[in-house]
Amino acid sequence: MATAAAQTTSRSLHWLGVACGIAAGAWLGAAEAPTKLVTAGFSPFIISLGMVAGVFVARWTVPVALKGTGYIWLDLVEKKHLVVWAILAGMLWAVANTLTVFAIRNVGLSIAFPLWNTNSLVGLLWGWLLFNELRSSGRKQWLLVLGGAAAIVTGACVLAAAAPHQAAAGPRGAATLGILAALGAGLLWGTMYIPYRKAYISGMNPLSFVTVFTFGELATVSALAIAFGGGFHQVAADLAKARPVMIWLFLGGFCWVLGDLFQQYAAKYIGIGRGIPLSNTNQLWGLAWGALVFGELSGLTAGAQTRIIAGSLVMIAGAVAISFAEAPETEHDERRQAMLRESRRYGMNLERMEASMQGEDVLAQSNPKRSLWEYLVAAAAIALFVWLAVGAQSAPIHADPLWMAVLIVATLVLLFVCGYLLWRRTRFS
Amino acid sequence: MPAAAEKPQARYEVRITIAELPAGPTVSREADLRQSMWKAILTDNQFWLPVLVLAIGIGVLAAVK
Repeated sequence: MATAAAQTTSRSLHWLGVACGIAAGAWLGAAEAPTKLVTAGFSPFIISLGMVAGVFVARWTVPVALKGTGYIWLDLVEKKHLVVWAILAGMLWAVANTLTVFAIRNVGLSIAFPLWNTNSLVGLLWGWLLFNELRSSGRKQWLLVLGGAAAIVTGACVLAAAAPHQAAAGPRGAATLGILAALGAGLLWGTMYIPYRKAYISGMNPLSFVTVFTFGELATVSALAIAFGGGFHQVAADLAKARPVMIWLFLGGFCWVLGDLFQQYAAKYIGIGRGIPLSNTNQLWGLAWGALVFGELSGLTAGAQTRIIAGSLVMIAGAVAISFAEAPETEHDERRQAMLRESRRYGMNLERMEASMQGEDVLAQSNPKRSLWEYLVAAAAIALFVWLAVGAQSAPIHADPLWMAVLIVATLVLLFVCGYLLWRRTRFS
Repeated sequence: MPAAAEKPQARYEVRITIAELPAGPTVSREADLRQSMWKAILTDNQFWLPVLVLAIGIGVLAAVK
């Protein structure tokens, strides 16, 4: 009886994690759409800094409404050591993102993208090695997860090769460094999932993790922009120049925060080995925005269009395969061994950790209060978005309003359905 | 027997023997806890792996820029 109940719980959390992974793909893909409206003339560092600033500000809108700052504070105080890990994850993201800029410059997107897209395979390796993911699971799970992840990477490679992109513009002899930069980005992003998983098997709420993560991310991106963008005064001048298009970057950041939150919940409930490949389907959504809304594929040959359809189908097949790779109870036992290690090392209560992994909101028992100042911070964040929107410059780019409406509705449906499922099953814990 | 029966039932079954369970925090003062936390982080191999990867990333960045 108890085993049947445990299986039901495990199954419902598995499908919740899968839904979150798919929603993450949609919102991370949607994050690319506003940035397409920023036409040339700005350095990649300024675009990256603008978007990360948008992420940072957006963090204080929707996520604050979900749980409140008092709740996050309680979570962070209870698991202080994870603050260091979350900052480290933010730094890894920032350096990886900067590496991709140089990789594209030196070898072009079609070569660089498949190389850094191996991050899900790197994450899968760390998940298995450090957190016992897929251990003591059957051959079927191995086949579904490994095959699914490989299919997603393969599909992404086919899409990257077929889609239109800018040619490499790096100096002669820079190809090796470009490849190194792309591989480095994949390694850094794949390794970034170690802090993710560590936080979640410790029972941390993804909202708390993302809060600290954005501090590490913004600080590192700012430092890199200053270091590579010509110094503080140059960066400040470039930011002032970019003011009319900053709203598009902030909107991209807003979508990114929602996508990242779904990715974090996927990493919590189905692990990084399964959750990250699923959220890496964002390329499919990015392609849909580019092709259907901005007409980027209109000049392609029939062969290229066929390759894009084939790549998309391979990616979808990979996501379906991973969706059905539910972890058996023996694998959960292995995961509990990884939790025991954390519990011992950092003096945490194992039962509370397990309760959190089962979707229970253990912190809610402390009844954290909301304060007036957090409403003020949320209002200030929204006001900043409004201020940027008022002075926004309309983008000189054609967009299909019908397809834009279709994709916006589809991503909103995923937001509300997955948000509702998360609230009903876990109360966003 | 009655004492055993009165013991509250754990809400989640964690299949680990009692001998393996952590003893819990052994320090009480805030300063000791801080020291204990940093010691736990700095002696955690899982911490140095991402730090090493970050250092490699910064090195590649310096080379490619």
